[in-house]
Amino acid sequence: MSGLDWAVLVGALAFFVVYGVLRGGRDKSVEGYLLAGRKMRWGTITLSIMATQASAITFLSTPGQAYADGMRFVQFYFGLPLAMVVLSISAVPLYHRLKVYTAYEYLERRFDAKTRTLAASLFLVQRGLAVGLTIYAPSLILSVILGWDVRLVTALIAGLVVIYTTTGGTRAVSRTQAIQMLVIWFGMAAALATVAALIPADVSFFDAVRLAGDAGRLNAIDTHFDLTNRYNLWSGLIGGTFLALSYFGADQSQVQRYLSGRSITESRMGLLANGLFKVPMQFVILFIGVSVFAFYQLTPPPLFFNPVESARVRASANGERFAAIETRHAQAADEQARRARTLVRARHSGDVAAEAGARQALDQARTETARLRQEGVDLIAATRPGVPTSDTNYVFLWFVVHRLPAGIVGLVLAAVFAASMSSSSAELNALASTTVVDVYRRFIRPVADERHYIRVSRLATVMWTGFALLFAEWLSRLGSLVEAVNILGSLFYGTILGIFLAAFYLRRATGTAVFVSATVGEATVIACYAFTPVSFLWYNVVGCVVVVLLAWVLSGRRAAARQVSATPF
Amino acid sequence: MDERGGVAPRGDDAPPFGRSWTLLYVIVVVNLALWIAALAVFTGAYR
Repeated sequence: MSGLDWAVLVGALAFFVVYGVLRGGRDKSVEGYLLAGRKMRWGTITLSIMATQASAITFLSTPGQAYADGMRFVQFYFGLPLAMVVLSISAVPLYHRLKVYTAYEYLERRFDAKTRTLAASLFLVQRGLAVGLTIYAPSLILSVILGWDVRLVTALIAGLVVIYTTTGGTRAVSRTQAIQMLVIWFGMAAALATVAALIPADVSFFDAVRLAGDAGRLNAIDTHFDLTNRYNLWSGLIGGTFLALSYFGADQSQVQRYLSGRSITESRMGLLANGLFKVPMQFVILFIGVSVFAFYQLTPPPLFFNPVESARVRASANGERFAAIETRHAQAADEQARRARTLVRARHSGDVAAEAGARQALDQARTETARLRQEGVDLIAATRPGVPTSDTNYVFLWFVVHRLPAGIVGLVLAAVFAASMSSSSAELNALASTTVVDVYRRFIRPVADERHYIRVSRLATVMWTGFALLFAEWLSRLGSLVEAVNILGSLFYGTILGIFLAAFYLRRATGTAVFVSATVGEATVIACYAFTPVSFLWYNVVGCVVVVLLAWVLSGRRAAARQVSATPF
Repeated sequence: MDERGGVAPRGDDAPPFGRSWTLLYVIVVVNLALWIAALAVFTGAYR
């Protein structure tokens, strides 16, 4: 990294912290500290919602996913706009009118304390673990590519976040997120423009993208219905809608963002604007990955994008063999690039037969390059059994560090840190709110002055940060479990959503019926995970449907009169 | 509305720009449909 990159990165990080502390205000009320005094405008809410969802791992892994697997991941987000409309109609006015601090507080108004506690507990467990991953995962990638100490990066991100999240509460988090989201967009735009500019001059960007399309990397839509296929139109529209309903309607890290709106109008507009911008944003992030793939169709890529693992194999007894494979791979990639240019020229000539021949020759070259890469990966696995053999997460950052010019590298790294800080700050903020509102104030100390609850909220933020760091340390010892932890969210979201949908729409549902249904629903989801090949997006549908149907069956005909006012319709 | 009387003040849920909420919801859904259609065309064109 150049001095300019360091200046951009350090300047951005310092600005985030100083801005967060200064704009956080000095709230003396719990409502001010946990909900920014319910004064936020919709523009800030939109940026805050988007920044909460877009973690650094999204920003780093998504281009790599497009590089390896194409654009079909964009379908994962198709349910999100639909969920924004449903939540704008149902949850937003309800939460606002009941003036709740957390989504789980609503469940006690609607049902009883045990249902509220169950949902709050599921959130604390799932989000408490996830925040450790939110901080650790990008730290690991940064440490591998840049040679930094992973513990130092983890501690740096957590340390910077805790300063302004603790002092300024939700106001600091939301206002800083707005700035961080702008930095993320700016970093993305700079990365895409630079990748386009780096495509060799003898091939146009359009032609390079067509090469990526030939290799199946522009497969954005897959209409084939398959329950075991993770990303297709139907899993995105159906499973994605359930996931987004649960995440935005029942996960306090998102609910807290729009509860801070000054009116129903501001909160609704915040969600709806997210529904408008999310799919295009993910498309652009994926398209960056496709562009990197197009670049490497014309310039030889490394055999393996994880430099630490490559170096370890080179230093091992298999080092010479690995170096030989690397050399052959580089030669094959050179040949592949030559044939790619031949295909481009054939296309421009309009000679159909020549184009077909060039395409076939390129396909053969790609097969040979892929075979040699697999040979290298197999050698890595044989040398160090158990190490992750996927380098998808490292593709984008490797490209950034080795190919982008000075200044842009610092900007993209600032965007990565911004994404990590914005997600983790919202998660820590929400964990503290739920701990104080749904546990401490509800069960431990129901009566105290406002200053006391603010002090406890600050303490809870620091404690959850410490827990995140401890969990990150544990993850660093069990790297292969990272993916399993990532699926953890989907194991709980369906059940939580079922509880909330029963609360919203089953007027006769009772607390005990919903509590029992939620327990059965959770067991069903875990059974699906353990015993079936069903893809994880569908867990959200399964858990939700089981909870709602069972609650409907178990609830008697007698409507709970006092609860009717807590339903949206 | 509820036992705390937390009814939203008048105008608290007024649609912005003088339009109806229904229109805004339709815009969000149509925007999604257009993106899916555009991406389907994109996928087909570069297969």
